Amino acid sequence: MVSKKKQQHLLSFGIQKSWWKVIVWIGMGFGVAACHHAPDKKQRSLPYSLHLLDKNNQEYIIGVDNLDSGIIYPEQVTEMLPDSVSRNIIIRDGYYYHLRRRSKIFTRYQLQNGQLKAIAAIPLNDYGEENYLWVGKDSLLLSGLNTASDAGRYYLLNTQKMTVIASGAFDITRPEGIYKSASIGFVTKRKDRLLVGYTFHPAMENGTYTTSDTMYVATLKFPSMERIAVEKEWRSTYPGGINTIQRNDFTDEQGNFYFMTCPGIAMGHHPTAPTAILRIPANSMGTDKNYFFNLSASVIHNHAYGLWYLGNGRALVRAERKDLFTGLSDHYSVPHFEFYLLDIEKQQVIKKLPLPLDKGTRKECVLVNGNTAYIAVNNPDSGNYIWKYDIQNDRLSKGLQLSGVTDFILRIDRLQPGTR
Amino acid sequence: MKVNADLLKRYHLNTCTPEEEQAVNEWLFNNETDPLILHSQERAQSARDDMWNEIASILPEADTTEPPVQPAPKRSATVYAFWRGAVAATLLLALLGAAYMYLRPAADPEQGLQAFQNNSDSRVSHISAQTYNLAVGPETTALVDAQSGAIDLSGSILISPKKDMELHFEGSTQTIRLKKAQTYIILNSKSGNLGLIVVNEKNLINLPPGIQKKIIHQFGI
Repeated sequence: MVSKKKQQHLLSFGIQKSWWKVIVWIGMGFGVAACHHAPDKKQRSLPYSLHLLDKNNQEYIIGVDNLDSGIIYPEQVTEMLPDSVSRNIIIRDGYYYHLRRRSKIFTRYQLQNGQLKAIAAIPLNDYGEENYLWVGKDSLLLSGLNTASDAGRYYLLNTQKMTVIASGAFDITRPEGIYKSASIGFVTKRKDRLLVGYTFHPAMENGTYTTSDTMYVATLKFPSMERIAVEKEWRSTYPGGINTIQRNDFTDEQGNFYFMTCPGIAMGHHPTAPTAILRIPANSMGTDKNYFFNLSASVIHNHAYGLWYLGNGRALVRAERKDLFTGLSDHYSVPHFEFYLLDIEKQQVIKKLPLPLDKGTRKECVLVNGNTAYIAVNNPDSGNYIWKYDIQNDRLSKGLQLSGVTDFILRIDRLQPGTR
Repeated sequence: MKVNADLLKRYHLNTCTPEEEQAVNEWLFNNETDPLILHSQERAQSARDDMWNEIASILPEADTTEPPVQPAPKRSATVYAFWRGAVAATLLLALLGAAYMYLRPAADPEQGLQAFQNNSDSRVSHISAQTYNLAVGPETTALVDAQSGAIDLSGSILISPKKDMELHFEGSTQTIRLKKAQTYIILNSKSGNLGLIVVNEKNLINLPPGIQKKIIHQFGI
């Protein structure tokens, strides 16, 4: 639809000689608005959402009935997303939430007639996105950094009313000395305590980017965000990641919290540190010093990004193959990722899943539904499929195929209630 | 690019590609780029009729029994606008030409070599050359041979080729192919742990988050 501002802009520039264009413009606007506001009587609640990227770097969001079979041509069922909407999307109870990188506008969307439609929006000032956590049915805690990336900031939102309940600074240490910026890699909540994992980076200069060899876990009071304790951890670095793009942590059935460190070149860029899984036991606010699942030292022998819990002590990890890419220039375009099944309790790699090599540096490409793990794999030779992994019977089969212009399946999400 | 009803509709729905959005913006705001103004009266009338018919066909409840309201053309105003525009364009071209002669980067015409140096620690300098647009990052030096595609780079650049280009970087055997009208981020350093990085701006999200933030902040993208 035509915004008032745009109309005024148009009128001031174009009315003298091109006023007929303005009439066309306004007419078109009303026409489009009329189409858009038409009551959507047949609106159905689709259970899953897919986020795709095509060969021209255009993105699509598609609501789908099932992931088990069929074929979808995105260009036939929806239109491209505007450039302002990217993959860093939070999905819950039929709504999509997205923070625009440049304008810092946080918008709530809904799928209507197969198209993403904005419902409400609020500005989040001086905020760069790192992590999100649902702390209530409609209460969303966004944890990130200020624009200078050197101080932790948060927004606690009511997503139903799209209002800010609280916002401010996390009481965590700021980078000092050679360290100039921070990364907040995970945030999890236990009653009235918040556990925040973070680390620091020196300035990126002279062709160097890296992460401190130390990471921190702060315990904060919730919701005051006052610091109670900070734990230093040296066994690995770059805890977690950016969970609007890809998950790197989970809580098991007993309330133990697990997070993976990501020091590989695609995240922390401190590749001499190992990619490892650490545990914060349910009855503790610090890391378990007797638990360190070193994936780089296992049969995987590589760094990894992306960790998903399958239930009953098993998890899937998405590991890179350093022998197949040359560096950051081709890390996302070359198929080199493998999926490994892990026994979290025993700290053992059970097996590599016999899937085609997957491409894309970071993707939210695993969704667990009961006994099935859906795994999206993009391989130029074998195609773009959602694979079904039967967790109990250890069987893999092909499910939904994404065809047409699809190049990457960036996300699979549960669109309706029941999400993790 | 032809601006048609379908494109306008997509523009309203925010689903245009950046190129399409730019084409519509130009069509809306720039009289000089509008071919209809220079058409004969009959052709302009016919083109307008076609456009209205095209639009009427997609409007949900357009009443086709009545002719659409159309502006009565004012020929004298159009001619005046054309000449005023032409004079302004000529003056602008002359000014741009003089500015280019004065401001163009140091160049060796025989070799096609261009050297860029940005010593600022925060400012980006923007350069428009015959075959590419370039933004040179802070503390960056670049030596570009547009003919051979050889680049000696230390620092960071954003480059948008005006035609498909092949680049060869000093110290690398790789040939980098860049497509016209796309923007690429190129980082290179003889020291440090990053080496040569070439990515399309649209793939920025695949770089480590800390590098993304630095590039976004540096180039204001």
